[in-house]
Formats: sequence, structure tokens, C-alpha cells
Amino acid sequence: MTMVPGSAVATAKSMYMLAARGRISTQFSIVASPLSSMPSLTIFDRVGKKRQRARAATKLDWAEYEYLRAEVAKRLVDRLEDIMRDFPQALELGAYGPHIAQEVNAVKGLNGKGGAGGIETLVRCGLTEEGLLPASMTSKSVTQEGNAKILNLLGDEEHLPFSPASFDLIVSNLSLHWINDLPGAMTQARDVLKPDGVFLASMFGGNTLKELRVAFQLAEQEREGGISPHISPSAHVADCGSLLQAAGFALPTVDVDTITVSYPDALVLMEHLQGMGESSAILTRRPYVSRETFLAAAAIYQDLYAEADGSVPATFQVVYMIGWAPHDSQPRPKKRGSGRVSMKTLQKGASDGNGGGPAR
Amino acid sequence: MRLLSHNVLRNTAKGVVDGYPLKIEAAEIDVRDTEPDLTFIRHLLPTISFSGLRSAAEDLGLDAAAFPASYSTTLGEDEAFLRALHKALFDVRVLEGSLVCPESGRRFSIRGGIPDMMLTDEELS
Repeated sequence: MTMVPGSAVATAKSMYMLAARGRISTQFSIVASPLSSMPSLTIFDRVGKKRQRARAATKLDWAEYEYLRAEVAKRLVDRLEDIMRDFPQALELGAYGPHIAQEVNAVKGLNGKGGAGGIETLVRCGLTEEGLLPASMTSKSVTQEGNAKILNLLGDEEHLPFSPASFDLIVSNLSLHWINDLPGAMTQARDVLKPDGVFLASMFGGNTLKELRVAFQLAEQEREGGISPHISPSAHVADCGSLLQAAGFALPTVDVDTITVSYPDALVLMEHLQGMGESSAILTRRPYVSRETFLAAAAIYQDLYAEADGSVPATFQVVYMIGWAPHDSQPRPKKRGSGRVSMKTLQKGASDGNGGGPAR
Repeated sequence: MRLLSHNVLRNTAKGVVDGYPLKIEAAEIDVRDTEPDLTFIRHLLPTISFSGLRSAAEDLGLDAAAFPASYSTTLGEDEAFLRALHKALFDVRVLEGSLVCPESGRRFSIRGGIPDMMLTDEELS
């Protein structure tokens, strides 16, 4: 489901048609606000997601499930280091796990100051204390002084408790896909950035866990005669550029990484998703799914997607977004009507060997 | 929570016009000396809210008069001032206590040095 005006109506219509064929246990609460054509949706259960992440982070084997987040954090900080600038004051949104702090502290900044990207203070804003400082964590990089000073606080990405123009850089690693009002959150992020500040985020895109989505739909349809949402709706790559622009960012850049992870079977995949703190937190998810449906989903997954050695792949589509808070030094398109040379003259000039003249 | 964080924190609940600066009620404070990076402090100078800093210094019993009311370009040359600023922003940590909104009186708790700025459903716009 994409966040484009009008598609909410189309989704409701298609849900209606499916209901005629089978039971649909899903409903979205859509509130149309008179101030914008875009209805505001509450898709994710933030309280539930907090609880899931807190629970996952208190487990002793928490670190074993963090491979994906750690890898994406490394790639994200790689992109940060590609930007030839220092960002002394940074904010990490949706901080969960020490990965960004570790990557920042692993190297020194360009001028020998601070950590990666020249970060000297990193304010980590997370949903839960357990997620900020997981109990089983042996690395001390988030509590002690490293190349960057670490400041922790609890805060919601959708309602930032910061004064405007406070940070040079905002990073977010794999947490934006759980936000209900993503355009609003990104607009707030732009407000909190200083002019010419950078917003650098990674999040799961539309293709993520497509195999699991298909397996669940088929299994539930077959076993229970209806479908319900199991995989989150997420922003598609094509939407991310307009998301950045709508939030007021200049020079938006979007790129995609598709990471495929192999698991022995679908049930292990689901266990790992829970261990990562990425279990379903859709507001209208069913409170109880039968074991039969789970086994059917696993069997269908195996049947449709198994590799030669019996393992199954899971797709994680990671979208990296970079946006710049507007500043005069940034290149901008010229005003309409300020053109001085007509295309016709240029064309003629090129074939005649003469230079172009002023526009006629 | 260090005063560097406090300097940018505000109450952004619905209906609050200017939830800044938050008043600090500290139950437990830790002071630990760290090595100042003067270049970094100089970079910070234009963006520090001195009204917020003075309010915090008063709340914690530090010498608020040592800090000016607003930024001026000559501050960057005063090394003694930069060191005092570093000490206030980085060396003082509030481990337990509360932050109070000056407008609505809403309290945010500080536990284990981590301020909890999560807003409830009623406070969200």
C-alpha cells in the first residue's frame, strides 16, 4: 500500500470485493483532515512495537539477531563518510541497539576530530531504555566516551522534543518503517536540522519480506477463508523521493540495497524477526493466529521459494534516503523565464559553427 | 543528562506555545572532569541558547552569572570562558530528577541519566 492520495479509497474498494469472497478481518481507521487532501492513517501500534522491542532487547541472546541492523548501520555510516563535511552535532532517531554509535566511534573524523563524519556529540533518541542500552551488550561504546560523546534520551520520532535548528545531522537506522505519519516525522526532522544539515536514513522498503507476505496470504486464504495483514505496508522506492521533497528537503537522494538472507525454514525466519524486534505491529493484526496457519505458511514458503539445499531466502529491501535542509549555498533550478538563449539558436549555432545569440 | 542535551530539549506537546527552557529539578548529580575540545566549543557557540544555559546553571547551583545573556563574536576568543562553558555543558550530569515545562508544568522524569521525553496520547497533535 503506497501513501498516495486516492489509493486509500482504492484499497477500501478492493477490500470490499475480497470480503465478498472470504472473511476479511481488517479495517483501517482513516481520518480525513480538511486541511490536506491526504488522510492521516494510524497503521502501526506504537505501544505494541515499544513492548516488542523492549522485550527483544532484554533477551540474553539479543546480539545474535542483530546481524541485519548491524550490517545496514555499517552501510549507512559508509554513506555518511562519503559526504565531505563534518557534522559535529548529530541526532540518532529511533535508536535501538548500539550499532550506529559503534560505527561512529570506530573511526576518527576527517580532521582528526570526533568519530565518523566528524561527529563529536551523538544524541541517541530511542523509544525504550532497554533498546538504547541492551542488557546483554558487552560493547561499552554507548555508555563511555569514545571518539564521540554519547547522550541518550527517550523520545518519539513522531514528536521530537527538540528546538529548531539544533543538529548538523540526523541519522536513522531501520526505524522509520514503523512510523505512522512519516511525512510529518520527516518535516519535524527538517525543522530540527540546521540549514545545510543532512538527514540520512535507512528503512525497509516495499519489497521487504515479499515471500512471507505471499506465503501468509495463501495459507490464511486456504485454511481460514480470508486474509489479514501480517507484513507492514511500507513506502516504495518511488515514493521516497517525493517524501523527502514534501518534507522540505533539498537535493533528495534515494538508493536501494536488496539483502537476501537464507534461513533453514520460514519458522526460523519468523523467530529471527521477533528477535530483531521486527514482529508485526500493525494495529489491526489478529491477536491470535492458529498453529495450522503458521505451519501452512511455512510449507507454502518452502514449496514456492526453497533453494536447492532446502533453505529459504528472505528479501530485505533497504532504502537509503539522504536529504539536505535548505540553504542558500545549495544549487537550485533557475527561475522560469530567466533563460537567455533559445534552443533553436543553439541548434542552428551548433550546425553552422556560429555561436548562439540572445533569445528572440 | 548533560546540559548540552538540556539546551535543545523542549516540551512540544499540543497547546504549548514555548515549552522552553525546561526547569531542572535534580535529585542526583555527577560531576566528572573531561578534556575540552576548544574548536568544538567554538563551533557550538552560535547555536547555544544562552537563556536556556543560564536557567539550567541557576537550577543546578552553578555560577549563572559566568554566562552571558546572548552570543557575541568575542566569546570565541576567551579561552577561560570556553573552558567554563565546556565544564557546564559536558562535565555535569543529572542522573536522577525531573524536567519541568515552564508553561504547562508538565514533568519529564530523568532516570539513570536518561530523560524521558515521550508524550502521552492526549498531548499529541
